Amino acid sequence: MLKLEHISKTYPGVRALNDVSLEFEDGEIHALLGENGAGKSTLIKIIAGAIAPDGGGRISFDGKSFEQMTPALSTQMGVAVIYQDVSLVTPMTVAENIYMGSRTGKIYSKKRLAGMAQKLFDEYGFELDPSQKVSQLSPASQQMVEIAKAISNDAKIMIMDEPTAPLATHEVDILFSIIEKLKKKGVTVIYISHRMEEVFQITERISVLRDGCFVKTLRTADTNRRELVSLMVGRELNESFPSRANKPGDVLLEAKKLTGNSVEDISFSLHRGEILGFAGLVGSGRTETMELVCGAKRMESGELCMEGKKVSVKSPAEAIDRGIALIPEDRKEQGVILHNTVLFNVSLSGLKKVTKCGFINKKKNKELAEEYRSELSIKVPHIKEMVVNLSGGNQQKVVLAKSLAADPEVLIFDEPTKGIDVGAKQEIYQLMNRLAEAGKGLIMISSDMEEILGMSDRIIVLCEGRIAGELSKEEFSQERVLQLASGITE
Amino acid sequence: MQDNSFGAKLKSAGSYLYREGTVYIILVVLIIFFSIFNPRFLSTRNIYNLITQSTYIVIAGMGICFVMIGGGIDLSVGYQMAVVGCVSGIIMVETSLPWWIVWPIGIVLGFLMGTLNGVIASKLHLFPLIVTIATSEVFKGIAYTITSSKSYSGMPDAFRALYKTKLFGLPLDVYLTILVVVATWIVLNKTHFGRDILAVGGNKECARLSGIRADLIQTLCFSITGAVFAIATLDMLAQQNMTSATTGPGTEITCLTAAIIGGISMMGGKGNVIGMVAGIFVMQMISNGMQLAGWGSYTQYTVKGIILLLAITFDALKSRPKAVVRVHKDEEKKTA
Repeated sequence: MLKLEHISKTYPGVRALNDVSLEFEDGEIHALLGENGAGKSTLIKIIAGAIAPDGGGRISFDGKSFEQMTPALSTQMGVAVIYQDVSLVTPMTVAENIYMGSRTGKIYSKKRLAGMAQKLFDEYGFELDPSQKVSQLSPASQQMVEIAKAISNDAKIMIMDEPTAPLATHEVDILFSIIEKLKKKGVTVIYISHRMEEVFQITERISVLRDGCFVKTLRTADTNRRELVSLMVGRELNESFPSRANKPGDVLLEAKKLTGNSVEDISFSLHRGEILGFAGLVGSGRTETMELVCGAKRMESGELCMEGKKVSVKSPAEAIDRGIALIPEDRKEQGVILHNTVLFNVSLSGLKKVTKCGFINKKKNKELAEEYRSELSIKVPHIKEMVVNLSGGNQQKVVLAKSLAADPEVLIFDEPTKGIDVGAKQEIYQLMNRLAEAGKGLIMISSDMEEILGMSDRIIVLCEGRIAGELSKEEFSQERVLQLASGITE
Repeated sequence: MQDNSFGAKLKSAGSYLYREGTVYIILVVLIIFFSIFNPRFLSTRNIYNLITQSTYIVIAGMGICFVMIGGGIDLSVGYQMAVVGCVSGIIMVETSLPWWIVWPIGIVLGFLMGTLNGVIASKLHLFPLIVTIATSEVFKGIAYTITSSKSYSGMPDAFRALYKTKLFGLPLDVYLTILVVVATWIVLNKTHFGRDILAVGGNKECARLSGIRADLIQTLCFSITGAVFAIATLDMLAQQNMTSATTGPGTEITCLTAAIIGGISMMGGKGNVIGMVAGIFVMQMISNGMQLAGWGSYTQYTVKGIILLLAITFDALKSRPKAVVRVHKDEEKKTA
């Protein structure tokens, strides 16, 4: 039995987990539910020893109790985590991967390993060939190999993080039958999934987390989807959002049946002076949709219209020329050039403004950077400061300044306040309002329920690469958003 | 908020020297070191030799600046030089085409070879290192085939005038070198295009999303590197008056080492032209000093290799993030 008592985890400025106590019984399939950022991943990482919790909590395995885990210790205690992305040595065979690192017999024999693997497969009902190379397997089969590897290591607690995300329907059935067999062998399965129907199909108990706090453990048989959704949301909205004076105007951007990059048939329109929210669970296709709109990925079909005229965006360069700018989610990898100056970064997209015949006008460039530095109040001692030395909030402002310098009409914010402190958040919100009031069209992707409800004029909810529904301001509620995002249609 | 006091300026100059100025310190240390051990090192004659022998390597160094600051690397430039040298050499020896036709032919040839590398690396998303090792072998084959591994000497005087004619006591190619350095500096520091190169080298994905045509910029970096190396080759040909498939290869290692010593990061997106020139003089002084000391060229290979190793080690150490170490061994021990 795995018992967690009073587990908390604090990051600077954020309480990811707050005094969570949970019990997992031997041989049960236990679902962990919660919306984005509820603390599920943090909890798994603590059990697996990838991160250490704050002091004061206990993690107990059948009576053995620890303050915190390490990866080695958790393996020793029989914890295995199956992540979505597999980590296997792909040029080696299935059997070799399963028994990697274990010393069986005096000499290394592929045949013996294959025999052992076959026995394991027969016992649990895996449909795998032990001597096949992993590189030739489908993602689903590779995941099966991971599970088999965990079983062979005597895993007693198997944590599966969204295991069905890359699987096709018949593969899900195979996975479930394996989970059932594991359960019979007394293995505890902690199952994390956004897909409600799966949770009801296989789990026995469900624990709900919300905002880093433990809410309730229920028996699956005694509950229903609606109850779960209400438990997952029931969150207090305490942050205040600045209000806007303007009303949305004419249609600025229209997307018609965008398909490609793992999203399908996405149509929406964006008005001037509007903030259009895109909600959905992680992996629902929000970022992927925006990658199509801003030209970062090619669309297979569908079209974009700016102010009624059809435009083609085959590359980000073209999108920026048409007035569509993206403020990407991953600031450090996609947003800024960390090891260069604020001055340099600010003039990345709008360089044309400060160049004449290909030559940069140093003075104008400086003026441009200074202008945005004061307009966005980027707190930096000097515009020649390296971006890497700035705080998250200020880095985000640099990304924003960069995009604004290109004079866009449509701004796409992908998780604009991720990882930045409360004060800077408010500044970003105010700035977004100023932009909307100036008649720009804004699209905001956010996993922060409060933010998306507080800032948007309309919300489009995505679920598994498709639009699940659109909500107007009057219909806004946490429950509605989460219901649509979880694929509950009524 | 800017602090304009003298103390602050001195401090920022000091920290700048610490971050970017390693190469100048090495240069000064080397000058002192060699002049102590050999009084001839600082003689006018030796300094003249040092400068005139370095011209084509400095030009080549400017070439490698483009590809490296753009986040790539080109190991095929050595054999690109061989191809350009052999083609132009054969043309001049076998036909009577004038130098002003040979020059454009050579430069275009270099540009095309660079473009080939660039297109393969950026369009197919392959590692430039591997691509250019492969194309290097291709160019090597071409160079040996067209020369039938013979060497060609006796270039026309009009072509050699670049090296033979003196202006204010220095050969013309010294001024050509200065011109190339200044042009490179202007392109990299003052133009839109140079900015784009720095951006692509610093973070290609960010640059692409910011509306820079990253693949095109990267390809052009390779092309320009090829063209500038062609200029270097033609200067070398004017100096040495002979060419074969083995003249040129080896320059890439000198340039690469000089670039890294000069503060151009292997990761791209960083570097300045003056540091690069200083880096080349470090390399040239080391070989010049070793020549004066009577060390053979084989020993020099070893020494240059070791310097390259040291340079990449320091480059990596400088850019390596500080690891956060967290150890919880105690509880593990208790259970074990």
